[in-house]
Amino acid sequence: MSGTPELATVEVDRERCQGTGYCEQLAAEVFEVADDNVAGVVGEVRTEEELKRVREAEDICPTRAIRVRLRAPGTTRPPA
Amino acid sequence: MTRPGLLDIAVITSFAEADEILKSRNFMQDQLLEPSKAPALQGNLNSLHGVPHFQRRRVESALFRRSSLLHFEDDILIPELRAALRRLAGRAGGAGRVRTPDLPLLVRSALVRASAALLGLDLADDAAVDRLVGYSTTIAEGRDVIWATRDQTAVVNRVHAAWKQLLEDLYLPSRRRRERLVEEYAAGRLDETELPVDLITVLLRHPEALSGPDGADLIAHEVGLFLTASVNTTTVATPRTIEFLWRWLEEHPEDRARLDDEAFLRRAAQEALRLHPTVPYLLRQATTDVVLSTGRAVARDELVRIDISAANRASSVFGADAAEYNPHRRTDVSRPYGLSFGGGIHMCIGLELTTGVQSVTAEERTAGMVIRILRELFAAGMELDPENPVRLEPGTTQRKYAAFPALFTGL
Repeated sequence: MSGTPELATVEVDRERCQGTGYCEQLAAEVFEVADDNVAGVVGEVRTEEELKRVREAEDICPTRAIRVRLRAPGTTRPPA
Repeated sequence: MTRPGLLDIAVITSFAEADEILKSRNFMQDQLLEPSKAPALQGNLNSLHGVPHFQRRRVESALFRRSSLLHFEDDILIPELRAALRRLAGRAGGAGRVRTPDLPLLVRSALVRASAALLGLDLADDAAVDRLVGYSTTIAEGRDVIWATRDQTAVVNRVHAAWKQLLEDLYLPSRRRRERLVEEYAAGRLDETELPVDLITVLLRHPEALSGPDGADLIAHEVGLFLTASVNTTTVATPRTIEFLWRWLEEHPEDRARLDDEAFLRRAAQEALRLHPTVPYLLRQATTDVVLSTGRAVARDELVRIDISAANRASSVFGADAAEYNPHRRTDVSRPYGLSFGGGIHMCIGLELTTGVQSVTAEERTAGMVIRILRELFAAGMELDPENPVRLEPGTTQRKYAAFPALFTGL
């Protein structure tokens, strides 16, 4: 979906991550827990529905390892 | 009498192994206590796994949002604690130095009100608060009974009786009131904003999150878990912090100037929790053959007992003086409290209720109940009573207090 505005940037603090997988269960298109039991960001947030679930993931994370920052409207990523 | 085989279970004392096991999806939670010895453990959040656990946790996490945490701290805990301190001052008749023989009891009564709000237990008056204090104290003995070195039968019987009384006296009336409110809301006769935000109401509204043994009142079981976790652990953690911090201050009097510094008090509390976790052991069972990163092999169905206190004293993680108390400890680890709040999917849901939200931005932070209590007590001039020292309770392997007197010079 190159050119579609990305609504937020998402980061996971690897040191804080407990590998609960709550984020993956809430937003599998954005988060994935790797074999080392640490979550990583594998996708982008492009819909309001995804943003809602990613926000919930940020909230439910027991160690606040997830950080969601809204992007300014109209910001897009360059096509791959 | 301890649980058969408990002492035969392999003990994990390595921080790295403990951390890996707690995070691993190849280990399941197990209970230290036999169900017959502690009421209503079955089907609570701690005993669930996989999808049922996530469903329950997701629903209950709504209770621990920042706005709720601030409400518990600002609107309930601190006013109640200040009222308790005023009552203490009143009983002393205006004397300069006010003594209390039981600081944990004073803290517990404030915590009980905050916990009751979290759980959804209606407390009509001070007498109801006192009864809940009594119930929670007795029920806490059930969680600790496995560490008792004396006969456990009498304790277990008291715990069962207290649990039954709690259900009849406070839980069932509170639940019935909330059932009526939820019905009114479902029928469109009540706005959502008029519904309480508490554990009983949240679970009534989300029956899909209640999977567990048939016929069990799982909401009651959850109330029991949260009551123990919210009241008893904080009631234990607070005096422990005070005891260790006080000893530190005797050797480092310059730190008395920091007793209103939230960050210092948090580190003080985290150090006490690290060295003396309120839950000293966690049991896990391997769901498959596992070889840990250290090379330790754990067979499928094998139980391991994680010694949290030992793991938290790893010098590789916390420094060469890891066995000592140091509120100025600096480590690279993101959890200065070590594994005292567990890890992985069962990491304590009340972590931020206890020690605060430590987000990146200042406006998102909260202090946490332990730190708020400490600030209030030190602001009231709390000191340990040199004429009546703290005494540990015999007959248990846990660090419990038989007596914890305190002085206040600023009431």
